[in-house]
Amino acid sequence: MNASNPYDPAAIERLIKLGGPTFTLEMIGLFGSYGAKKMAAARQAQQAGNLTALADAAHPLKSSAGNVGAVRVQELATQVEASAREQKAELAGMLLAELEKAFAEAVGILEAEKVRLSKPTA
Amino acid sequence: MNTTSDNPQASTTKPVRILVVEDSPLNQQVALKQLEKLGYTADAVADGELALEAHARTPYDIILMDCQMPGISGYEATWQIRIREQEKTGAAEAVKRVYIIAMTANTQADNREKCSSAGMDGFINKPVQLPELEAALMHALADQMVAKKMDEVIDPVVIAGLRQLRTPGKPDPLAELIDLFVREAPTQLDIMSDAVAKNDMTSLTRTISAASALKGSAGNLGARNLAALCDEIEQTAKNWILADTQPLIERAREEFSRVQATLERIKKS
Repeated sequence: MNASNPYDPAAIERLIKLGGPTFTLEMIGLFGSYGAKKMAAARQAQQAGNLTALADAAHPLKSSAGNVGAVRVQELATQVEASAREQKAELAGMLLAELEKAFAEAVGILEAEKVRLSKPTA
Repeated sequence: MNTTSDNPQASTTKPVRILVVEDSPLNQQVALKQLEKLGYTADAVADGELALEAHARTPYDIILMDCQMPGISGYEATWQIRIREQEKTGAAEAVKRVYIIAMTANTQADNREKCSSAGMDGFINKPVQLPELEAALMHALADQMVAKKMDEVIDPVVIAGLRQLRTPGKPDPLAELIDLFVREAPTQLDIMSDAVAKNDMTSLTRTISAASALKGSAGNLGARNLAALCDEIEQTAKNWILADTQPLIERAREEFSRVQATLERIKKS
């Protein structure tokens, strides 16, 4: 998966296969709520200059994003965590801004998936 | 605590107790659903502290452990579980060794090294994929079956006791004892066979002496079946029934082969 593709639809198909549309809708919902909580914690940590807390907030986003196919979020969360752990505050801050954008974009894409999944099948 | 046990398939699930430790609710739910799909019921908790509480309550067979969590990390929780298991070795209510699979989002070698050092047995990458999870569980169950078979040959409590004699920077006393036993046991068995073939008073004494010596050294290493067979040989010889000892010696030789193979595995582990 290359960096230009922010979303991997195969992940949602895997979730549907695993637990059906209702389960998948729940997982998308969880990504939105849990992800938003972690994004807020990351921003707060960055503003407080607490790079350990920033890394800890970014860490769980990696695999959670991977589960719903939010590839760009996964990549950027990995980079934010790595730069924060290496105490590169400026770089971590720049990457966090990109991560916030990618997260908003992923939530938008997944909202569209939710609409598709909510439609009754013919 | 979340669980898959209230699912409608629970009555057909495999009798393996699994605990999922994962702080991301999304990852936790996916893992529970994957386990359900594979036919397992599981409990789930969100941090290391709750994992330790759950482990104290339930004798889990397998724990799927996230590594980095707020509070007590997966590494630390694993470390504490291993200490708990060691402390209870030989106790009236001994704690069985749980197989711990690390779920890690960091695939670097040093991270795996950290997992092994903490006492984890296996690894899977996150996000966890169904085939990898299935393979890791199969591996865990196979490992536990081997361990169970090994336990039938060698008493694990005895081995755990001998392991505690290890001192950093010094030769491993368990390995030394195993080497000595593996070297000397065949000689004792040969002495018994030769003596029985001669069938005289001196041979009788030699058989009793060799059986007694092998019983002692087998017992020291927890080879209980072999020790019991040697005891039987000793008692039979003491009753002057030398003819009956030959089949027992053959059984002791077969048991020794199992003991030797198991001890070699123990030495490598």
